[in-house]
Amino acid sequence: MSKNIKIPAEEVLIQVQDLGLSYGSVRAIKNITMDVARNAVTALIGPSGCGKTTFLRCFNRMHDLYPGNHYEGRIIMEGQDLLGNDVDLTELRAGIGMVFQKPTPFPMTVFDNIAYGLKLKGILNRTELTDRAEMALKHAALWDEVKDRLKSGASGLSGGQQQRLVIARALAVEPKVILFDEPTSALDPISTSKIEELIFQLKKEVTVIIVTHNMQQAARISDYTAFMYVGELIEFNETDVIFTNPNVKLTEEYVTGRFG
Amino acid sequence: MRHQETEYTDLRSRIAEMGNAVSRMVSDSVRSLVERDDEMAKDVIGRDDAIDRMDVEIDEHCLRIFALYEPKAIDLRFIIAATRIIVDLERIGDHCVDICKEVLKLNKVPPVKPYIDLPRMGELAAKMVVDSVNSYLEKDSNGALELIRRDDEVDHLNNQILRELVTYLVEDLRKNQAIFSLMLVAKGLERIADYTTNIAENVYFMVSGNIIRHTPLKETEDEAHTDN
Repeated sequence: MSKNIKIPAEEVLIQVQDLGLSYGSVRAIKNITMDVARNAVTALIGPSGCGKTTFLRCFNRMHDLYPGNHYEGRIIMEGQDLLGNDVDLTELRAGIGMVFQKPTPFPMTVFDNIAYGLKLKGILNRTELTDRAEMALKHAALWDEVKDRLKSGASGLSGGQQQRLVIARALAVEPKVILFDEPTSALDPISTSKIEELIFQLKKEVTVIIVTHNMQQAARISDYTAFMYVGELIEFNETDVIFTNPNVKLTEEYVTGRFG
Repeated sequence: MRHQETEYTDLRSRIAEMGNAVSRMVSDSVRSLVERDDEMAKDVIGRDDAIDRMDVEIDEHCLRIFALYEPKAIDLRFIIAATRIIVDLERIGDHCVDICKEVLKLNKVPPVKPYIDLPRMGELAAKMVVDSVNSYLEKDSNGALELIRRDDEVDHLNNQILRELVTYLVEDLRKNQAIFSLMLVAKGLERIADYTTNIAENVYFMVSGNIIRHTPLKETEDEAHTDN
Protein backbone atom coordinates (compact mmCIF):
# COMPACT_ATOMS: atom_id res chain seq x y z
CA MET A 1 0.00 0.00 0.00
CA SER A 2 1.52 3.25 -1.10
CA LYS A 3 1.05 6.46 0.84
CA ASN A 4 1.13 8.55 -2.33
CA ILE A 5 -0.93 7.70 -5.34
CA LYS A 6 0.71 7.77 -8.75
CA ILE A 7 -1.43 9.70 -11.20
CA PRO A 8 -1.17 8.42 -14.80
CA ALA A 9 1.29 10.62 -16.73
CA GLU A 10 -1.27 11.72 -19.33
CA GLU A 11 -3.51 13.15 -16.58
CA VAL A 12 -0.79 15.12 -14.83
CA LEU A 13 -0.73 18.90 -15.28
CA ILE A 14 1.74 19.86 -12.57
CA GLN A 15 4.57 17.90 -11.00
CA VAL A 16 5.73 19.06 -7.60
CA GLN A 17 9.23 17.76 -6.95
CA ASP A 18 10.94 17.95 -3.56
CA LEU A 19 9.34 21.30 -2.88
CA GLY A 20 10.41 23.25 0.18
CA LEU A 21 9.92 26.80 1.37
CA SER A 22 11.81 28.64 4.10
CA TYR A 23 10.95 31.97 5.67
CA GLY A 24 14.38 33.09 6.84
CA SER A 25 15.56 30.16 8.93
CA VAL A 26 12.12 28.53 9.30
CA ARG A 27 11.36 25.69 6.90
CA ALA A 28 7.62 26.00 6.52
CA ILE A 29 7.23 23.11 4.11
CA LYS A 30 9.68 20.44 3.06
CA ASN A 31 10.22 17.61 0.60
CA ILE A 32 6.81 17.72 -1.00
CA THR A 33 6.55 15.52 -4.06
CA MET A 34 3.20 14.94 -5.69
CA ASP A 35 1.38 15.41 -8.96
CA VAL A 36 -1.63 17.60 -9.64
CA ALA A 37 -4.11 16.07 -12.05
CA ARG A 38 -5.46 18.14 -14.95
CA ASN A 39 -9.15 19.09 -14.85
CA ALA A 40 -9.53 17.70 -11.39
CA VAL A 41 -9.94 19.18 -7.91
CA THR A 42 -7.05 18.55 -5.54
CA ALA A 43 -7.71 19.38 -1.89
CA LEU A 44 -5.03 20.19 0.66
CA ILE A 45 -6.05 19.36 4.21
CA GLY A 46 -4.31 19.32 7.57
CA PRO A 47 -4.34 21.04 10.96
CA SER A 48 -3.68 24.76 11.30
CA GLY A 49 -0.05 25.58 10.69
CA CYS A 50 0.64 22.41 8.71
CA GLY A 51 1.79 24.41 5.69
CA LYS A 52 -1.11 23.86 3.33
CA THR A 53 -1.65 27.54 2.54
CA THR A 54 2.12 28.00 2.24
CA PHE A 55 2.18 25.14 -0.23
CA LEU A 56 -0.76 26.58 -2.18
CA ARG A 57 0.96 29.96 -2.46
CA CYS A 58 4.03 28.38 -4.05
CA PHE A 59 2.08 27.58 -7.22
CA ASN A 60 1.65 31.25 -8.14
CA ARG A 61 4.75 32.47 -6.32
CA MET A 62 2.84 34.58 -3.81
CA HIS A 63 5.79 34.20 -1.45
CA ASP A 64 7.87 36.34 -3.81
CA LEU A 65 5.90 39.35 -2.57
CA TYR A 66 7.79 39.15 0.72
CA PRO A 67 11.55 39.26 1.05
CA GLY A 68 13.56 36.49 2.70
CA ASN A 69 11.57 33.56 1.34
CA HIS A 70 13.46 30.77 -0.30
CA TYR A 71 12.11 27.94 -2.43
CA GLU A 72 13.67 24.52 -2.89
CA GLY A 73 12.78 21.90 -5.47
CA ARG A 74 10.67 22.41 -8.54
CA ILE A 75 7.09 22.85 -9.68
CA ILE A 76 6.89 21.74 -13.29
CA MET A 77 3.89 22.73 -15.38
CA GLU A 78 3.92 21.85 -19.05
CA GLY A 79 7.68 21.53 -19.10
CA GLN A 80 8.39 24.81 -17.33
CA ASP A 81 9.67 25.15 -13.76
CA LEU A 82 7.34 27.70 -12.16
CA LEU A 83 10.00 28.47 -9.58
CA GLY A 84 12.56 29.43 -12.22
CA ASN A 85 14.11 32.91 -12.27
CA ASP A 86 12.94 33.53 -15.82
CA VAL A 87 9.22 33.22 -14.99
CA ASP A 88 7.14 36.35 -15.61
CA LEU A 89 5.16 36.55 -12.39
CA THR A 90 2.32 38.64 -13.78
CA GLU A 91 1.78 36.16 -16.55
CA LEU A 92 2.12 33.27 -14.10
CA ARG A 93 -0.55 34.72 -11.80
CA ALA A 94 -2.93 35.25 -14.70
CA GLY A 95 -2.45 31.61 -15.69
CA ILE A 96 -2.75 30.42 -12.10
CA GLY A 97 -5.50 32.51 -10.51
CA MET A 98 -6.20 32.71 -6.82
CA VAL A 99 -9.31 33.10 -4.69
CA PHE A 100 -8.94 33.97 -1.02
CA GLN A 101 -10.88 33.32 2.14
CA LYS A 102 -12.53 36.73 2.19
CA PRO A 103 -13.94 38.02 -1.11
CA THR A 104 -11.59 40.62 -2.57
CA PRO A 105 -13.59 42.56 -5.17
CA PHE A 106 -11.90 45.74 -6.44
CA PRO A 107 -13.63 48.98 -5.37
CA MET A 108 -15.23 49.45 -8.78
CA THR A 109 -18.29 48.27 -10.69
CA VAL A 110 -19.15 44.61 -11.24
CA PHE A 111 -18.27 44.93 -14.91
CA ASP A 112 -14.98 46.73 -14.28
CA ASN A 113 -13.91 44.05 -11.85
CA ILE A 114 -14.00 41.54 -14.68
CA ALA A 115 -12.70 43.90 -17.35
CA TYR A 116 -9.69 44.88 -15.26
CA GLY A 117 -7.64 41.76 -15.91
CA LEU A 118 -8.71 41.64 -19.53
CA LYS A 119 -7.56 45.22 -20.10
CA LEU A 120 -4.21 44.34 -18.51
CA LYS A 121 -3.98 41.57 -21.07
CA GLY A 122 -4.42 44.18 -23.79
CA ILE A 123 -8.07 43.55 -24.63
CA LEU A 124 -9.57 47.00 -25.08
CA ASN A 125 -12.33 46.41 -27.60
CA ARG A 126 -15.61 47.20 -25.84
CA THR A 127 -17.64 44.42 -27.48
CA GLU A 128 -15.03 41.81 -26.71
CA LEU A 129 -14.79 43.01 -23.13
CA THR A 130 -18.56 42.81 -22.76
CA ASP A 131 -18.74 39.33 -24.29
CA ARG A 132 -15.94 37.96 -22.20
CA ALA A 133 -17.28 39.50 -19.00
CA GLU A 134 -20.68 37.93 -19.69
CA MET A 135 -19.07 34.56 -20.33
CA ALA A 136 -16.98 34.74 -17.17
CA LEU A 137 -20.00 35.73 -15.07
CA LYS A 138 -22.00 32.88 -16.56
CA HIS A 139 -19.21 30.42 -15.80
CA ALA A 140 -19.13 31.67 -12.25
CA ALA A 141 -22.93 31.15 -12.02
CA LEU A 142 -23.41 34.82 -11.21
CA TRP A 143 -24.76 36.24 -14.49
CA ASP A 144 -28.46 35.90 -13.71
CA GLU A 145 -28.00 37.69 -10.40
CA VAL A 146 -25.95 40.65 -11.66
CA LYS A 147 -26.84 41.15 -15.32
CA ASP A 148 -29.02 44.14 -14.44
CA ARG A 149 -26.46 45.74 -12.16
CA LEU A 150 -23.20 45.47 -14.05
CA LYS A 151 -22.65 49.17 -13.56
CA SER A 152 -23.25 49.09 -9.82
CA GLY A 153 -20.45 48.88 -7.30
CA ALA A 154 -19.23 45.37 -6.52
CA SER A 155 -19.27 46.13 -2.81
CA GLY A 156 -23.08 46.08 -2.94
CA LEU A 157 -23.12 42.36 -3.68
CA SER A 158 -23.57 39.77 -0.92
CA GLY A 159 -20.52 37.90 0.38
CA GLY A 160 -21.30 34.82 -1.68
CA GLN A 161 -21.89 36.93 -4.81
CA GLN A 162 -18.65 38.81 -4.23
CA GLN A 163 -16.79 35.52 -3.95
CA ARG A 164 -18.31 34.35 -7.24
CA LEU A 165 -17.40 37.71 -8.78
CA VAL A 166 -13.81 37.14 -7.74
CA ILE A 167 -13.95 33.68 -9.31
CA ALA A 168 -15.41 35.21 -12.49
CA ARG A 169 -12.58 37.76 -12.50
CA ALA A 170 -10.03 34.95 -12.29
CA LEU A 171 -11.85 32.96 -14.99
CA ALA A 172 -12.04 35.91 -17.40
CA VAL A 173 -8.34 35.74 -18.17
CA GLU A 174 -8.68 32.03 -18.97
CA PRO A 175 -6.34 30.53 -16.40
CA LYS A 176 -5.17 26.93 -16.48
CA VAL A 177 -5.32 26.62 -12.72
CA ILE A 178 -7.29 28.31 -9.95
CA LEU A 179 -6.04 28.17 -6.37
CA PHE A 180 -8.69 28.45 -3.68
CA ASP A 181 -7.61 29.33 -0.16
CA GLU A 182 -10.55 28.46 2.08
CA PRO A 183 -13.00 30.11 -0.30
CA THR A 184 -16.11 29.45 1.76
CA SER A 185 -15.00 29.90 5.33
CA ALA A 186 -16.51 33.40 5.47
CA LEU A 187 -19.78 32.37 3.79
CA ASP A 188 -23.14 31.09 4.95
CA PRO A 189 -24.20 27.51 4.09
CA ILE A 190 -26.24 28.49 1.01
CA SER A 191 -23.46 30.58 -0.53
CA THR A 192 -21.04 27.80 0.42
CA SER A 193 -23.01 25.21 -1.48
CA LYS A 194 -23.19 27.51 -4.52
CA ILE A 195 -19.40 27.94 -4.49
CA GLU A 196 -18.89 24.22 -4.01
CA GLU A 197 -21.17 23.44 -6.93
CA LEU A 198 -19.30 26.02 -8.98
CA ILE A 199 -15.90 24.52 -8.16
CA PHE A 200 -17.25 21.11 -9.07
CA GLN A 201 -18.39 22.46 -12.46
CA LEU A 202 -15.22 24.49 -13.03
CA LYS A 203 -12.97 21.50 -13.26
CA LYS A 204 -14.26 20.85 -16.77
CA GLU A 205 -12.29 23.93 -17.79
CA VAL A 206 -9.60 24.50 -15.20
CA THR A 207 -7.53 22.57 -12.73
CA VAL A 208 -8.40 23.39 -9.14
CA ILE A 209 -6.28 23.22 -6.01
CA ILE A 210 -8.14 24.06 -2.82
CA VAL A 211 -7.12 24.50 0.78
CA THR A 212 -9.97 23.83 3.17
CA HIS A 213 -10.46 23.37 6.88
CA ASN A 214 -13.82 21.83 6.19
CA MET A 215 -13.15 18.15 5.70
CA GLN A 216 -16.66 17.47 4.48
CA GLN A 217 -16.06 20.04 1.78
CA ALA A 218 -12.84 18.36 0.70
CA ALA A 219 -14.67 15.03 0.69
CA ARG A 220 -17.53 16.41 -1.38
CA ILE A 221 -15.77 18.35 -4.09
CA SER A 222 -12.27 17.00 -4.57
CA ASP A 223 -10.95 14.13 -6.63
CA TYR A 224 -7.62 13.93 -4.86
CA THR A 225 -6.68 14.90 -1.34
CA ALA A 226 -3.28 15.66 0.14
CA PHE A 227 -2.97 15.46 3.91
CA MET A 228 -0.18 17.59 5.35
CA TYR A 229 1.30 17.76 8.82
CA VAL A 230 4.08 20.02 10.13
CA GLY A 231 5.17 21.03 6.67
CA GLU A 232 5.29 17.56 5.21
CA LEU A 233 3.04 15.65 2.89
CA ILE A 234 1.82 12.65 4.86
CA GLU A 235 -0.54 11.04 2.39
CA PHE A 236 -1.76 11.90 -1.08
CA ASN A 237 -4.49 9.75 -2.49
CA GLU A 238 -7.87 9.62 -4.14
CA THR A 239 -10.31 11.51 -1.95
CA ASP A 240 -12.50 8.43 -1.50
CA VAL A 241 -9.56 6.51 -0.09
CA ILE A 242 -8.52 9.31 2.28
CA PHE A 243 -11.99 9.53 3.80
CA THR A 244 -13.00 5.89 3.82
CA ASN A 245 -9.83 3.87 4.24
CA PRO A 246 -6.62 5.91 4.41
CA ASN A 247 -3.29 4.12 4.25
CA VAL A 248 -1.45 6.13 6.89
CA LYS A 249 -2.35 5.99 10.58
CA LEU A 250 -1.81 9.74 11.01
CA THR A 251 -4.27 10.49 8.19
CA GLU A 252 -6.83 8.25 9.82
CA GLU A 253 -6.37 9.99 13.16
CA TYR A 254 -6.86 13.35 11.48
CA VAL A 255 -9.94 12.52 9.42
CA THR A 256 -11.60 10.77 12.35
CA GLY A 257 -10.86 13.75 14.58
CA ARG A 258 -8.58 11.84 16.98
CA PHE A 259 -5.69 14.13 16.48
CA GLY A 260 -3.10 15.27 18.96
CA MET B 1 -14.26 14.89 20.62
CA ARG B 2 -14.75 13.32 24.02
CA HIS B 3 -18.47 13.52 23.36
CA GLN B 4 -18.09 11.66 20.09
CA GLU B 5 -16.07 8.93 21.81
CA THR B 6 -18.88 8.55 24.32
CA GLU B 7 -21.31 7.98 21.45
CA TYR B 8 -19.10 5.22 20.05
CA THR B 9 -18.64 3.58 23.45
CA ASP B 10 -22.37 3.72 23.98
CA LEU B 11 -22.97 2.13 20.58
CA ARG B 12 -20.50 -0.65 21.36
CA SER B 13 -22.21 -1.52 24.61
CA ARG B 14 -25.64 -1.50 22.98
CA ILE B 15 -24.44 -3.92 20.30
CA ALA B 16 -22.81 -6.10 22.96
CA GLU B 17 -26.10 -6.13 24.85
CA MET B 18 -28.09 -7.05 21.74
CA GLY B 19 -25.56 -9.76 20.82
CA ASN B 20 -25.79 -11.30 24.30
CA ALA B 21 -29.57 -11.25 24.29
CA VAL B 22 -29.74 -12.86 20.84
CA SER B 23 -27.18 -15.57 21.61
CA ARG B 24 -29.13 -16.45 24.78
CA MET B 25 -32.26 -16.76 22.64
CA VAL B 26 -30.44 -19.24 20.39
CA SER B 27 -29.20 -21.44 23.23
CA ASP B 28 -32.54 -21.24 25.08
CA SER B 29 -34.42 -22.24 21.90
CA VAL B 30 -32.37 -25.41 21.69
CA ARG B 31 -32.73 -26.02 25.43
CA SER B 32 -36.50 -25.71 25.15
CA LEU B 33 -36.37 -28.39 22.46
CA VAL B 34 -34.09 -30.80 24.30
CA GLU B 35 -35.76 -30.34 27.68
CA ARG B 36 -39.27 -30.19 26.12
CA ASP B 37 -39.83 -26.98 28.05
CA ASP B 38 -42.89 -25.06 26.80
CA GLU B 39 -42.37 -22.23 29.26
CA MET B 40 -38.90 -21.56 28.02
CA ALA B 41 -40.03 -21.66 24.39
CA LYS B 42 -42.75 -19.11 25.13
CA ASP B 43 -40.28 -17.00 27.05
CA VAL B 44 -37.92 -16.91 24.04
CA ILE B 45 -40.81 -15.92 21.76
CA GLY B 46 -41.66 -13.13 24.20
CA ARG B 47 -38.11 -11.79 24.18
CA ASP B 48 -38.23 -10.97 20.48
CA ASP B 49 -39.99 -7.67 21.10
CA ALA B 50 -37.03 -6.46 23.14
CA ILE B 51 -34.68 -7.40 20.26
CA ASP B 52 -36.84 -5.48 17.80
CA ARG B 53 -36.70 -2.46 20.10
CA MET B 54 -32.91 -2.67 20.34
CA ASP B 55 -32.71 -2.91 16.55
CA VAL B 56 -34.67 0.32 16.14
CA GLU B 57 -32.86 2.13 18.94
CA ILE B 58 -29.40 1.24 17.66
CA ASP B 59 -30.42 2.16 14.12
CA GLU B 60 -31.57 5.58 15.36
CA HIS B 61 -28.37 5.95 17.34
CA CYS B 62 -26.31 5.27 14.19
CA LEU B 63 -28.38 7.78 12.22
CA ARG B 64 -27.72 10.39 14.86
CA ILE B 65 -23.98 9.71 14.73
CA PHE B 66 -24.03 10.07 10.93
CA ALA B 67 -25.91 13.34 11.12
CA LEU B 68 -23.98 14.93 13.96
CA TYR B 69 -20.43 13.70 13.54
CA GLU B 70 -20.08 12.76 9.85
CA PRO B 71 -17.77 9.87 10.71
CA LYS B 72 -14.79 9.09 8.50
CA ALA B 73 -12.47 6.14 7.80
CA ILE B 74 -12.55 3.49 10.56
CA ASP B 75 -15.32 5.36 12.38
CA LEU B 76 -17.42 5.40 9.23
CA ARG B 77 -16.91 1.69 8.67
CA PHE B 78 -17.60 0.98 12.35
CA ILE B 79 -21.00 2.68 12.15
CA ILE B 80 -21.88 1.20 8.75
CA ALA B 81 -21.00 -2.26 10.11
CA ALA B 82 -23.20 -1.59 13.16
CA THR B 83 -26.22 -0.73 11.01
CA ARG B 84 -25.78 -4.00 9.12
CA ILE B 85 -24.98 -6.22 12.08
CA ILE B 86 -28.14 -5.27 13.94
CA VAL B 87 -30.20 -6.35 10.92
CA ASP B 88 -28.55 -9.77 11.07
CA LEU B 89 -28.99 -10.03 14.83
CA GLU B 90 -32.64 -9.10 14.52
CA ARG B 91 -33.15 -11.79 11.88
CA ILE B 92 -31.45 -14.34 14.15
CA GLY B 93 -33.97 -13.39 16.82
CA ASP B 94 -36.81 -14.04 14.34
CA HIS B 95 -35.38 -17.48 13.56
CA CYS B 96 -35.34 -18.27 17.30
CA VAL B 97 -39.03 -17.39 17.43
CA ASP B 98 -39.72 -19.71 14.48
CA ILE B 99 -37.73 -22.50 16.13
CA CYS B 100 -39.62 -22.09 19.39
CA LYS B 101 -42.98 -22.22 17.59
CA GLU B 102 -41.93 -25.58 16.18
CA VAL B 103 -40.76 -26.65 19.64
CA LEU B 104 -44.23 -25.92 21.04
CA LYS B 105 -45.69 -28.24 18.39
CA LEU B 106 -43.05 -30.91 19.01
CA ASN B 107 -43.66 -30.87 22.76
CA LYS B 108 -47.25 -31.96 22.17
CA VAL B 109 -46.19 -35.28 20.61
CA PRO B 110 -43.83 -38.04 21.78
CA PRO B 111 -40.19 -37.46 20.78
CA VAL B 112 -39.31 -38.86 17.35
CA LYS B 113 -35.71 -39.60 18.25
CA PRO B 114 -33.04 -38.76 20.78
CA TYR B 115 -31.47 -35.42 20.01
CA ILE B 116 -27.71 -35.65 19.52
CA ASP B 117 -26.69 -33.52 16.54
CA LEU B 118 -29.35 -30.81 16.97
CA PRO B 119 -28.09 -29.67 20.38
CA ARG B 120 -24.55 -29.71 19.01
CA MET B 121 -25.64 -27.61 16.10
CA GLY B 122 -27.46 -25.25 18.44
CA GLU B 123 -24.41 -24.92 20.64
CA LEU B 124 -22.21 -24.13 17.63
CA ALA B 125 -24.67 -21.56 16.29
CA ALA B 126 -25.03 -19.82 19.68
CA LYS B 127 -21.25 -19.69 20.05
CA MET B 128 -20.95 -18.27 16.54
CA VAL B 129 -23.35 -15.46 17.49
CA VAL B 130 -21.25 -14.59 20.55
CA ASP B 131 -17.98 -14.80 18.62
CA SER B 132 -19.23 -12.74 15.68
CA VAL B 133 -20.31 -9.92 17.97
CA ASN B 134 -17.03 -10.16 19.89
CA SER B 135 -15.04 -9.94 16.66
CA TYR B 136 -16.94 -6.72 15.93
CA LEU B 137 -16.31 -5.27 19.36
CA GLU B 138 -12.63 -6.22 19.22
CA LYS B 139 -12.20 -5.28 15.55
CA ASP B 140 -10.75 -8.75 14.99
CA SER B 141 -10.63 -9.58 11.27
CA ASN B 142 -8.83 -12.90 11.80
CA GLY B 143 -11.51 -13.98 14.22
CA ALA B 144 -14.09 -13.00 11.60
CA LEU B 145 -12.45 -15.17 8.92
CA GLU B 146 -12.19 -18.07 11.38
CA LEU B 147 -15.92 -17.75 11.97
CA ILE B 148 -16.74 -17.94 8.28
CA ARG B 149 -14.78 -21.21 8.15
CA ARG B 150 -16.83 -22.62 11.03
CA ASP B 151 -20.04 -22.25 9.05
CA ASP B 152 -19.10 -25.38 7.05
CA GLU B 153 -19.37 -27.49 10.19
CA VAL B 154 -22.91 -26.27 10.82
CA ASP B 155 -23.88 -26.90 7.19
CA HIS B 156 -22.46 -30.40 7.48
CA LEU B 157 -24.47 -31.13 10.62
CA ASN B 158 -27.61 -29.76 8.98
CA ASN B 159 -27.20 -32.11 6.00
CA GLN B 160 -26.59 -35.03 8.30
CA ILE B 161 -29.67 -34.25 10.37
CA LEU B 162 -31.84 -33.85 7.27
CA ARG B 163 -30.68 -37.21 5.89
CA GLU B 164 -31.40 -38.88 9.19
CA LEU B 165 -34.84 -37.29 9.44
CA VAL B 166 -35.72 -38.45 5.94
CA THR B 167 -34.88 -41.99 7.04
CA TYR B 168 -37.21 -41.64 10.02
CA LEU B 169 -39.91 -40.27 7.77
CA VAL B 170 -39.68 -43.21 5.38
CA GLU B 171 -39.87 -45.60 8.32
CA ASP B 172 -42.97 -44.07 9.81
CA LEU B 173 -45.04 -41.60 7.80
CA ARG B 174 -47.35 -40.96 10.75
CA LYS B 175 -44.59 -38.95 12.37
CA ASN B 176 -44.40 -36.55 9.43
CA GLN B 177 -45.55 -33.44 11.34
CA ALA B 178 -42.92 -33.83 14.03
CA ILE B 179 -40.24 -34.63 11.48
CA PHE B 180 -41.07 -31.55 9.42
CA SER B 181 -40.86 -29.48 12.58
CA LEU B 182 -37.42 -30.89 13.35
CA MET B 183 -36.33 -30.17 9.79
CA LEU B 184 -37.43 -26.56 10.26
CA VAL B 185 -35.54 -26.35 13.55
CA ALA B 186 -32.36 -27.61 11.87
CA LYS B 187 -32.85 -25.25 8.95
CA GLY B 188 -33.37 -22.36 11.36
CA LEU B 189 -30.11 -23.10 13.15
CA GLU B 190 -28.32 -23.38 9.85
CA ARG B 191 -29.67 -19.95 8.82
CA ILE B 192 -28.61 -18.49 12.16
CA ALA B 193 -25.03 -19.62 11.47
CA ASP B 194 -25.28 -18.04 8.01
CA TYR B 195 -26.26 -14.72 9.58
CA THR B 196 -23.21 -14.84 11.82
CA THR B 197 -21.05 -15.19 8.70
CA ASN B 198 -22.73 -12.02 7.36
CA ILE B 199 -21.72 -10.33 10.60
CA ALA B 200 -18.18 -11.67 10.18
CA GLU B 201 -18.01 -10.29 6.63
CA ASN B 202 -19.04 -6.89 7.95
CA VAL B 203 -16.39 -7.09 10.65
CA TYR B 204 -13.79 -7.89 8.00
CA PHE B 205 -15.00 -4.90 5.99
CA MET B 206 -14.85 -2.66 9.05
CA VAL B 207 -11.25 -3.61 9.82
CA SER B 208 -9.80 -3.81 6.31
CA GLY B 209 -12.11 -1.68 4.19
CA ASN B 210 -12.55 -4.65 1.81
CA ILE B 211 -15.98 -5.94 0.89
CA ILE B 212 -15.78 -9.75 0.85
CA ARG B 213 -19.46 -10.65 0.63
CA HIS B 214 -19.04 -12.12 -2.83
CA THR B 215 -15.41 -13.22 -2.64
CA PRO B 216 -14.44 -16.85 -2.05
CA LEU B 217 -13.02 -17.33 1.45
CA LYS B 218 -9.75 -18.75 0.11
CA GLU B 219 -9.10 -15.60 -1.90
CA THR B 220 -9.73 -13.35 1.10
CA GLU B 221 -7.46 -15.50 3.28
CA ASP B 222 -4.65 -15.30 0.70
CA GLU B 223 -5.03 -11.52 0.50
CA ALA B 224 -5.11 -11.14 4.28
CA HIS B 225 -1.95 -13.25 4.43
CA THR B 226 -0.19 -11.04 1.84
CA ASP B 227 -1.20 -7.85 3.70
CA ASN B 228 0.26 -9.19 6.93
